Amino acid sequence: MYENEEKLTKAFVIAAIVWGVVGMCIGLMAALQLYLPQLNFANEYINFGKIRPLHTNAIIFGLVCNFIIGLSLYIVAKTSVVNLVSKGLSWFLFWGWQITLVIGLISIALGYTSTKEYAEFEWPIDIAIVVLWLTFGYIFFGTLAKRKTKHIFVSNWFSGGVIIVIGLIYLINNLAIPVYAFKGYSIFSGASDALVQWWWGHNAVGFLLTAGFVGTNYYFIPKLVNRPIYSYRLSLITFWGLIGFYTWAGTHHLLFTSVPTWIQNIGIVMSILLWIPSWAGAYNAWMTCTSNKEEMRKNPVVWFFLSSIAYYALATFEGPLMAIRWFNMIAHNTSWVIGHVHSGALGWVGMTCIATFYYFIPKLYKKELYSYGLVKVHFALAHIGILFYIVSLWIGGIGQGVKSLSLTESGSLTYSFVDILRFMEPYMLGRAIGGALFILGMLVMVYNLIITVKKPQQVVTEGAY
Amino acid sequence: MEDSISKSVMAFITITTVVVLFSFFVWVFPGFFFTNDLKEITTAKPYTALQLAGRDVYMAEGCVACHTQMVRNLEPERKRYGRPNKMEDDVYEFNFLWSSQRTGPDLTNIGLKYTEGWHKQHLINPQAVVAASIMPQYPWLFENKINVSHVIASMRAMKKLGVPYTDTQIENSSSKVEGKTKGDALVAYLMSLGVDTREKGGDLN
Repeated sequence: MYENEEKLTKAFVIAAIVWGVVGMCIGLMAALQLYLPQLNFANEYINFGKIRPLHTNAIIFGLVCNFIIGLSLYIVAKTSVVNLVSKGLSWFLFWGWQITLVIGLISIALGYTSTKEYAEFEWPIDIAIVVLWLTFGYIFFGTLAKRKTKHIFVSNWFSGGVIIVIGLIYLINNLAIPVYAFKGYSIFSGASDALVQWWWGHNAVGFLLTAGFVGTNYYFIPKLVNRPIYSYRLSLITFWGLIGFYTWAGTHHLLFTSVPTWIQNIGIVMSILLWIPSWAGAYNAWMTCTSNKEEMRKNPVVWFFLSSIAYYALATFEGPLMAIRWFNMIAHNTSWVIGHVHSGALGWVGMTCIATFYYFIPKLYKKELYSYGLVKVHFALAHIGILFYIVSLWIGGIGQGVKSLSLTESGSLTYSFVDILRFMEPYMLGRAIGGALFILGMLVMVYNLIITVKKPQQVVTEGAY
Repeated sequence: MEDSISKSVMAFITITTVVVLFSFFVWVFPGFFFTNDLKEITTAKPYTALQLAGRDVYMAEGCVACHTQMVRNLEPERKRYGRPNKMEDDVYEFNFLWSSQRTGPDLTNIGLKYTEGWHKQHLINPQAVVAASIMPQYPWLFENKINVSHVIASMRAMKKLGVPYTDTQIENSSSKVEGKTKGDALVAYLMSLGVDTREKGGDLN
């Protein structure tokens, strides 16, 4: 019954893995450039100014969006007990997305960029993305509307929320007048542009990188551990908390800037409130994940899910903390922010993706996973990698922030900018090593999954790990 | 309400959209109306053709990946980077270029600090000027010429957005940028930063 859905999901999941590995390698390049500037090769297309947005866009629109689109469409069809509304449109969405992304990344390398973070793509790419996103929304909600079940399954609330919020905010933030092909100017200037941008920037994190994965977790974790969701009530709190508070919190990116203070303060209050639904969701997922003790002890795929939830709890604790003024004063503009993002991106998003791939890809191909031993190797590599990464940037970033603000007794600056650069050097290397270890783990996963998929058809046996 | 959103797709879409748009109307939407008041009080001047071309180079090269243009109003920041930004300073900044990372120094008032020659040398080979610098080298900027028609298109677009350029200014712009390199334009842009908003006696420390 679900032949087309399975084929489509396979395509999206493979695309997610390919973009993920490519995006991470570009990220490693960026990290190395910050340690060894010679690696910019005085080249127009691969210097840090180009590499950095290539990395973020490849990960967000490549890995994350392919994952969310592919799996949310699979989940909506399965939980609604119907086929997707349109086979043709679903494949248009798949190929359209990949082609748009390739053109978009090339255009950034060529210098066509709006410079607004995670919204760097210029207006022709923006139009393509909006059309594709509306297609995604049509397929998703159209399928949901003809469901044979009475209630909308909880995962679908989150996916639906992501579609609505991202669609709206992406559109508004990218409003621009075209100047010439692939160059436009935002219709907002200065402080208003900053407000619109961080309304988007923060919600790209809150919805693409958070709500989307919370949604898929509510489907895959219960399947993996073969137990129901721990609490329906907590999932409700998570949903309304994210929808209600998240979109308010973006101005914590603009503390101490020239935007009006009352707007900055809204961001602080809402960021702290956001802690509640975040940890409610984390607790719910954790309790679901640990409800099957035997599976938890033996199956390293469950460990990946548990780790991802732990990193989610860490990142959503760090977030409100960094939104408080005295903390933000030190952390803002420093590498600490990059470390915080990666405890979310590698820890939460990365490990959720990895766990889902390990669980779901063998299921999709009706095979048994080739090696659980290699999953354990990957588990170790991923953890050591993330720890290297975030601990380096905690130390490096806090040092950077404190030294930048430090004044001598006579009131002059204690450290020159060059002093701070020199201080950061070892931590830049530590971060790159962390990233490299994480990528090594990803390659182990790719190998494991390729062997799994290529294996001759076999009967699934119980307790093979 | 819980019951209806878990049963009706239309209810789900409507309620979610309304809840999400609260934040938009409270703190994003009011920002759209700042501009006219800010134009009255700003000391910022529209960029010249060459400076505007340089700003486009600054955007295209992704300088915002490492450089902020937002001095926070904190004592050490004022000491290091000069006058803090006011909201009216950036009224002609389509798109805003505040950035969020200070891998390199803030550039809000950089035009008050160095000479054109310094900037050119530094862009071609930053390590020759500051040994510990991790900035990429940009020698090709001084080899590639500016596209004159793009500069005119940029000025026209800015005019449409409300930047007070006159038609004569736009017509004369081609002679101002003809034959200039991207590097020349970028240096002209950098040299303009912080100059028009400078206050009497408020020099960069």
